[in-house]
Amino acid sequence: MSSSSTTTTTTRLLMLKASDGVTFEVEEAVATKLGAINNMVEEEGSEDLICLPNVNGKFLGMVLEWCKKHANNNTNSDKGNDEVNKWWDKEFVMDLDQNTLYHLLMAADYLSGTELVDLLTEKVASMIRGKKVEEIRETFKIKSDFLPGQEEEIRKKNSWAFE
Amino acid sequence: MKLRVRPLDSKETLRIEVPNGASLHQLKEAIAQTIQSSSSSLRLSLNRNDELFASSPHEDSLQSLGIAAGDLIFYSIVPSQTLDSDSQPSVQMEPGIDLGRGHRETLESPVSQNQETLVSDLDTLANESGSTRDLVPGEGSNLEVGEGEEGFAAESMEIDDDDDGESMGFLGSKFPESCFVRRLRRVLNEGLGEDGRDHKLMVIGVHSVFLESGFVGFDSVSGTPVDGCRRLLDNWRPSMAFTLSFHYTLPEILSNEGSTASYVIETAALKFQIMGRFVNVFGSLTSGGSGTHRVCLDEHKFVPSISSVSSNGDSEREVYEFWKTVKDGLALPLLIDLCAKAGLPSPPCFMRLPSELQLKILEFLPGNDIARMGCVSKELQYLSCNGDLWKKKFEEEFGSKAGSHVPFHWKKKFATYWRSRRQREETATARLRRFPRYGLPLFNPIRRDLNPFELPHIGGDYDRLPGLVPPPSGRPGRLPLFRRTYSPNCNFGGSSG
Repeated sequence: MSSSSTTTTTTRLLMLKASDGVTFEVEEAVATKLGAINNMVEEEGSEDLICLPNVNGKFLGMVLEWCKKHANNNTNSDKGNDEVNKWWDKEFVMDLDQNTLYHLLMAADYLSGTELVDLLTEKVASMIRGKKVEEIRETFKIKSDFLPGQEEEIRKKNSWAFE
Repeated sequence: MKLRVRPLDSKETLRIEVPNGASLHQLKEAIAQTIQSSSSSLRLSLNRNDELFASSPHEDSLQSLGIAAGDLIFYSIVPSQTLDSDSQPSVQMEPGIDLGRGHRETLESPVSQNQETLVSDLDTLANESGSTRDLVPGEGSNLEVGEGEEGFAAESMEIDDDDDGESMGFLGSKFPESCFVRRLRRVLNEGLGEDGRDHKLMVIGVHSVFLESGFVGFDSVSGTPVDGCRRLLDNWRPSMAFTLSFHYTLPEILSNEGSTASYVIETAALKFQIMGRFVNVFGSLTSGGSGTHRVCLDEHKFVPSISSVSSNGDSEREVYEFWKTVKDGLALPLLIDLCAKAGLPSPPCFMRLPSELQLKILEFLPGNDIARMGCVSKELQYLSCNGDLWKKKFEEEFGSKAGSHVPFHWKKKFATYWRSRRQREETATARLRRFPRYGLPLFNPIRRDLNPFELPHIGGDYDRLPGLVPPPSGRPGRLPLFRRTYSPNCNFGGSSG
C-alpha cells in the first residue's frame, strides 16, 4: 500500500500518545507486537496517531522498549533468537519493583501484549513460589482477614500443601 | 442437571434431574411428578423466602434464574384456590418458618420487568433486617442480623453435608465468605431498611465493590465524605427518574486536602441507568478526562444471589461473578484514573490487580503454592479455589487421562493425588534411609550374602565402601543390627539373580 520507492525501508511510523500526553514514535512492526495496537492499525488503516488514554507514558515507554527488543531480535538474526530474548527478558524483569511491575502488567494487559503479560505474571509468580504464608503476606503487604480459628481450619484443610 | 428439592416443613430431601436447559415450568412438572401433586400449586424458592417465578411459563430457563446444578430448592404446596396464579409472585411461603418477621397480609401486584413495580420479595428482606434491628439495637446490629439468620445457613449446610457437600467445591456453602461478601451483607442490611427493590439491590452491590476496592463515598454537595450508603441512597426516591449518581473519592485524596489550600477534591462519579432488567453503570471522573467505563448488570442473574447473601445464602458463584465484573470493569479503571488525576502514587498492589491477571499468576504456580496462597486472606482463598485452575493444575501434574466427569472436584482430587504421590516418595526415601546404600541406585542388584562376616569380599558394596566391612570396631554395635535387617531386604531389590 505504501507507494514510496525512494525509501529503502518500508516501515511505517506510528505515533502513540500516552495518558499524560507523552508521545512515542515507533515503527509499525514494533507497535503491532501489541495486540490492541495491531487491531487499531488494521481497523483504522491510515491513522497514524493512536491515543492510549489508559496507559501512563512511563510504562508505555517500557512496554515499547520491550517490544522493540523483541522485534529487532526477531528480524536481525535467525538463530539464537530465543536465547537472546530470554536473556533480555530476564534482565528486563530482574530489577522491577512491585509498583512498576503491576503498572507494567496492567499496561501490557490493556495493550494485549500477550508475551509480555506472560513474562510479567511469571515474574509475580516467582515471588510467591516456595514461600510460607507469612512470607507471602509480607511480600505483598496483605493483611490476614480471617477470623480467629478460621485460618487454622483452612490450613488444616490444605495441610497437604504444607508437608 | 441434578437438583436437590426439599419441602419447607421437613428435612426430607429429594433428588431430581432435569435437562440442562430446562425451564422453571419443567422443573415444577418434574417435582410435581415426584411428589404426586399438581405443578401449579407448587411454590419454589432458593432461600425459603423469595419465590422463583418465570416471566412467562415456558421461557425462563433455570440458568437464567440463577439455578445451577446441585442447588437446593425449597418447595411448598399452596391450596388450590390459587391454582391459576402462576404469575403471582411471592405467595406467603410458609408462616411456620418465621424469624420474627411480620405476617404479610396482602399479595403484591404481579411483578413485571417494569421498573416502577415494587418487588415484594425485597419487602421480606427489608422487614427482616428491620425487625431484627429492633430486637438488637446499637452498633453491632448488622452483625447480629447475620447471626440471627444463621439458622437458615446452618440448616442448609447440614443438608450439604449429607449430600457429599465436598463435591460442590466452589459452590458449596461451606466456602468461607470473602471480604466482599461480608461487606455486601453489611451494606445490604444497612441499606435495605426502607422499601427495597431489585434496582436498589444492584446499586448497593456495586457500592460494596467500590468500598472494598478502597473508595469512600463522597457527598459532592457538602464536600464531605459519606459513611455508609444510606445517605447516598437518600438522594434517590424510588419514583425519581432512573439516573442516580454516586460520588467516590479516596481516603488519600481527602487527607491531602489540608496540605494545599485550593485543592479540588477529585471524585469519580457512578451513574446508574436502568433499562428494564438491566442496570447500566457508567463511571467517570467528575472533572472529565480519561473516558467513561461502563458495565451492564443483569438483574435476573444477580438479584437472587445477592439477596440471598443478606440471609447467608449460598449462591456465591454469581456473587463472585458480580464482584469480578464490577471490580475489573469499573472500580479498578476508575481507581487508576483517579490516582493519576490527583497525582497520587499508583494504587496497584497484588490485591488490586484485575482478578483475571491474579488467576493467571496463580496458573504459573505449582499446586501446593496455590493452596498456600489460599491461606493468606479470604479474597485469595476465594480466588485460589477456582475449579478451572485446579483442573489445569491436575492435568499438568498427573496427566489428563485421569479425567473426571465430576465438576467442582478438582482441588480435592489434586490434593488426594498429591498426598498419595508424596507418600510413595516418602516410603521410597524411608526405605533408602533405613537400608542405606550410599548413593547406589535403588535397584542395584543386591548380593545374597548370607554370611556377611566372611572376609575378604570382592566386589559389591564391600569393595566400594570398605568402611562398612568389619573390623566391627568401626561401628560397634550397629553393624550387626544393620546386617540383620539387611538380609530380608534382598527381596526389595527385585533382583532374582
